[in-house]
Formats: sequence, structure tokens, C-alpha cells
Amino acid sequence: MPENIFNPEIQMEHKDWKHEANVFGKYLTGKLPTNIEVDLYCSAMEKNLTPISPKENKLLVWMMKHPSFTGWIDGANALQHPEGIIRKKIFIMTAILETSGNQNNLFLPVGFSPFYMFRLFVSGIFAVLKTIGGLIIIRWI
Amino acid sequence: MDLTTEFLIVGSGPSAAMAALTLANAGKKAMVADPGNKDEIYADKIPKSDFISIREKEQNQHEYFLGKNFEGIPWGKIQAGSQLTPPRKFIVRDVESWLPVISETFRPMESMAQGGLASGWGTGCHVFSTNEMEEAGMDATAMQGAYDWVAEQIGISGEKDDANPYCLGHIQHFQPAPNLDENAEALLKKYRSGRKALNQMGFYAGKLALAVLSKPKDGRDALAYDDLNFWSDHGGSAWRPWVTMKDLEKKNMLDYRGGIFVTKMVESDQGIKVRALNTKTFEKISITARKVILCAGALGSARIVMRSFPQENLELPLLSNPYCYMPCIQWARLGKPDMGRKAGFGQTGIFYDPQGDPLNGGMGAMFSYRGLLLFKLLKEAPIPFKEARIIFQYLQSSFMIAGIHHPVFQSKTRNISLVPHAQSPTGDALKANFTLSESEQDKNLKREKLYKKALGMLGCFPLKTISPGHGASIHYAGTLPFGSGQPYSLYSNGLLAGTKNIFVGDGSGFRYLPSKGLTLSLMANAHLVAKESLKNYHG
Repeated sequence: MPENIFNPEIQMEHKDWKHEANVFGKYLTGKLPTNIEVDLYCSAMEKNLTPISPKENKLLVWMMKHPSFTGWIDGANALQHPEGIIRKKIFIMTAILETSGNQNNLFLPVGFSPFYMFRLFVSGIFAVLKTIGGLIIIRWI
Repeated sequence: MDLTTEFLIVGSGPSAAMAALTLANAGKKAMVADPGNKDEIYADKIPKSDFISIREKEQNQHEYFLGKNFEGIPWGKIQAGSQLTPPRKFIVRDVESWLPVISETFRPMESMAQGGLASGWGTGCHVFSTNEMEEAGMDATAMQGAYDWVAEQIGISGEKDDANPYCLGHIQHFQPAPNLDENAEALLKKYRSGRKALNQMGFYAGKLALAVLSKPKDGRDALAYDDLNFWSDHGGSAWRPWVTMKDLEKKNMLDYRGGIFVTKMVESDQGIKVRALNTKTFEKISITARKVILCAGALGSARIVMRSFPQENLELPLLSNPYCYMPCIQWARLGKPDMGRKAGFGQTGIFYDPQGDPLNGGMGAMFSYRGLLLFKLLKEAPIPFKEARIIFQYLQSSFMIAGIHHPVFQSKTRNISLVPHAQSPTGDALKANFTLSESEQDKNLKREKLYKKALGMLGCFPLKTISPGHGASIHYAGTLPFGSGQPYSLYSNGLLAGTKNIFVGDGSGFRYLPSKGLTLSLMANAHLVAKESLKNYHG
């Protein structure tokens, strides 16, 4: 089947969504999401089922087996497939984390501090490096 | 179902509210027929608190910030309506099935809500200049008085500063402008220091006039600075059409009928027979009226008129302000989070008024970002979400969004027609064409370049220009232009040519749209049209 045709037979199971929530939550904030945040993610997936192409599904399965590379794939997708399903899933998890009431300190405005400026600088560098690495991984998978 | 009334108003938006109020003041109790969708899910869920406190304390905030079905998480192409928050999504409910539009070039946002599109209005109030009113086909002298009357009824706050000619104009009845948030303060401070150079370029900035109370009025609270205006209408400080309509109902001066979708009219010596459908059951409804005032919006009223007076290959003109927005970084606010109470409405405007070219100005409304959640910004950045969150968390206090509107004139390349559509309850759909000529596109691009320069001088660095497509301004007019009695036009008093008692009180008649927001002008026009409809009425 051509890679760009959505295969309706590819169905994600509920337990996969829980694992996705944990992987994406840990990636975004550095810690595992709460049970409520995981449940919200599963509910969002159930209500927003979108067919996924075989190519993206292959990438997603690989990410779930290698969660430490989530940021790399996310960076590459930000350039190459910004409207793809993987980006959408991470975006939804970000929205859930922002509005779950547990992680406001990560989303509300912050003020100037030398430490934060350093963190911004380092984040910028990491973003670039991860993206380059992700582009290589995607080609290889 | 058969109903009878003396005065029938179709629609429940700002024009309808002012028409109803005008008639009520003359002792006439109008019937309002309207689909009347409301928010049945979220209104009671949002606490009477402020945005920051909710974010810090409420565990169930995701219910209304993201929505029951996560409809508050936008994805895909930006289009009008897709950015509505879950508590405001009712504004566009059912529109796809009842008001289908077929077009490659025009994507409007329409409404079946009680209050119409004004249920999500940003409350910006602008008077048209004399030149603009004359170009649009309005009576400038009559409109001056009407503007002031509307301001007194709904409650407007503002200031007579450099933005005055484009906002309050000669309006006398207004309250003091609300306190500015820190982004707006910083912008105006920069304007004051560079005023001469900006004025020489044709740019004037100041506080926007808003249909928001800074002092209590008629049982409505003053602005609470809760930064929740994208989510709720607690306290009623922001005027919405249903504020006026509910007040009239309480005084038994309005007969509001929701769940009614008007399809067409037939006028005879015995009156006007209005055909409609029940929006839930599709049952046919017939309303007999002595006078009808269509206030269904330029697109909605045009549909009704085209069905009522069908003609083969009929095309009506269409106006809609071309629009873009520019997310900007405001240098003065970098690293300075504003965690206090704030208004949340766009409070400042930058007006482009080129000397010697009064019809080709521009309007830039400036909005700070805090009340709309960080995650929505992250999608725009081509970097991993994790790093995007860190970077944007720092930048968000400095974000301002400049919404730039351009003027628009009539043209043969902008029109609408009705085509058969089996899936819609009315059996038809609106086909729309909207293209700008090369010279019009060129003018708009030049105007946008000038705005970028002006924004830079005001301490705001535009990151990019986003053009969401024609129709995204949510300003529509000119489908039944003011004329001298030609078919499918309006007389200057709002009477539909070829009829005796069918008036149109919305923006259908405007032959030109300046760049400014038109809601205040719609309301002033509706007041004048309703007054006209009272004439020759022998009870």
C-alpha cells in the first residue's frame, strides 16, 4: 500500500494511548503525568480519532519503543510534517498539561532572571541539535 | 405554526437589538424571529474569578478551557471561527448545515446564535468619517446623532486622544476608558515619544473606544479586569445584543422567538407573509407581519431576499475587509510578566490615515496575549514542543497581536449567488467569489509594510504576517447596496427597493467598507432604519 494512503485498519489500542501519554508527558515536562492527565489524553484520543498513515505509524511505534528520542522526532516533524498526527498528539498533550491545574509553573508567564536566560539559550541550541538528529533518524527508520 | 405581529425583526445581533429598542421606545413591541442558539454547556462552569486565579487553583479548568470534546484545541488550517474558545463555539453551531457556503476564495463566519456574531464581539467601537459614510451611501448628519444615541444606550468607554477621529468622533455619551494593561501602556508610551515621526507617516495611535463599562450602568457591572472576555460574560460589563433584548423582554416590550430560521417573504396588500422553519423539528412556520426589518447580517439577509425574489443567474455584490494579523514581540515587555488583573480586550489601536486619501486608511487593533493559553502559540514555532514551551513561556508577556484591516470597495470580482444544495434544509447554498485585483493587493501589501515599520517604531517587532483568507475579518456588507430603487438595492432609509414595508437594518446597504470595525455603524444605521419603518404606520 502506498505510504501516503491512510490505512483504516491501523487502530491504536487504549493501552497504547496510556503509554503515549506517559511518553509525551515525560518528554514535555520531565516527569510522568498524573492519572488524570493520562485519562484526559486517552479521552482526547478517543474523541479525536484520526487515521494515521503507515509511515507515521511506523515512526510512532519506534518512538514508543525509544521514548528518549521523542524530542528528536518532534523537532524533525516540526520542520517536515508540522500538521502530522504525531505533532498533533504531542500538541494535545501539551494542552492537557497546561490546563490540568498541576503544572501552572511551566505555562504561566515568567520574569527575567540570568538563569532563565541561560536556559533559553540552551533550549535554543538543543532545539536545533535535536531537529538535525531527528531528520537523520526519520530517514533511517 | 402560524404567528402574527405588527413589526417583525429577523435576527438577534447588534442591528436587531437597536432596531427592537428603537421600536420599543416608540411604544411598539416587535417580534424577533431568530435561531437563537445559546451556550448550554459552559456558561455555568466558569467560576466568577479571574484568569490567573483560575489557572492557579481550579482543577477542572480543562473542562471549559479545552472543552468537553477537546474542541478548544485548534488544529489544521487557520480559518474564521476555528480559534473560538469552547464557551464561544455555540456562535457557529449548526451553521454548516443551515448556511452552507460554496467557495474557493471566501470563507465567512456566520452565526445562528442569540446575539449573532456579536456574542463574540471584541467590543471595538468606531465612527465612520463623513467621507466614509458618503462613500458607503449613508446620511452622515443623521448617523452622527445615531452614533451618540447608540453609545448612550449600550454604554461605551473611551478617551478623546489621537485615536478619537477613528473611535469616538463626536460622541458625547461615553464613560472614561478602562485602565490600560501593561502592554497597552508601554505601546502608548512609545507612541508619545515618537508621535511626530509616526504622524508624519500617517499613523495615529490611542485608546480604542469599547462597548465595555468602566462604571456600573443599568444593573450591569463595571469591567472586573478578570481577563476572561474570551470565555465568559460575567457581570455584563461587555455589551452583547441579548443584554438589550432581555431588558426589553423584562419590560414586556419584545416578543423574542428562538428556534426560528426565516427562509423567505411574500409581500401583498394584506401584509408580509414570512416563511420559516423550526430549527429543531423543521416544522414549517408562517409569520404574518405589517412591517419586516431584516437584521440577519449582510449574507443572511441577502439569502432571504434572493429566495424571496428569485431571478435566474442573480448575483449580488459582496464586501468584506481584507485582514491579516501580525504576532509581535514587544521589547519593553520582555521578561516582565503581567500577573495582575487586566482588561483582556484589545485596548489600543493604530490607525493609518494617509493625507489626501481618506478612503484608503487602515486599522490595526492591538491585543496582548495572556488570556488565551500558551499552548496555542507553540504550534506556530517550527521547533520541538518541549523547547518551544520554554521559549514561549518567557516570551508570552511580550506578545502583542496586531490585527490589520484594509478598506474594500465594490467590484464585479466580489459577489454571491444562491445555488441548489440538496443537503441543506433550505435546499440552497451560498456561492461566493471574492478576489482582489492586482492593484488592490498591491495597495494592501504596501499598507502592511507601512504597518510593520510603524510597529517597529512603537517597540513591537512583527514575527510574521498571517493571512487567514478572505472572510476572516468577520466584517460583511454591501450585498443590497444603497441605491436609487434598482432591484436588489436599498433606498437610503433602508427600504428594500420594490417593496412597501420590507426594511433591511444590517450592513447589507453599505456600498463601501472602511478599514474600521463596523459594528457601531451597523447599530446606528439600524436605529435610523427602525425610525423610518415607523413612518406611514397607521396603527
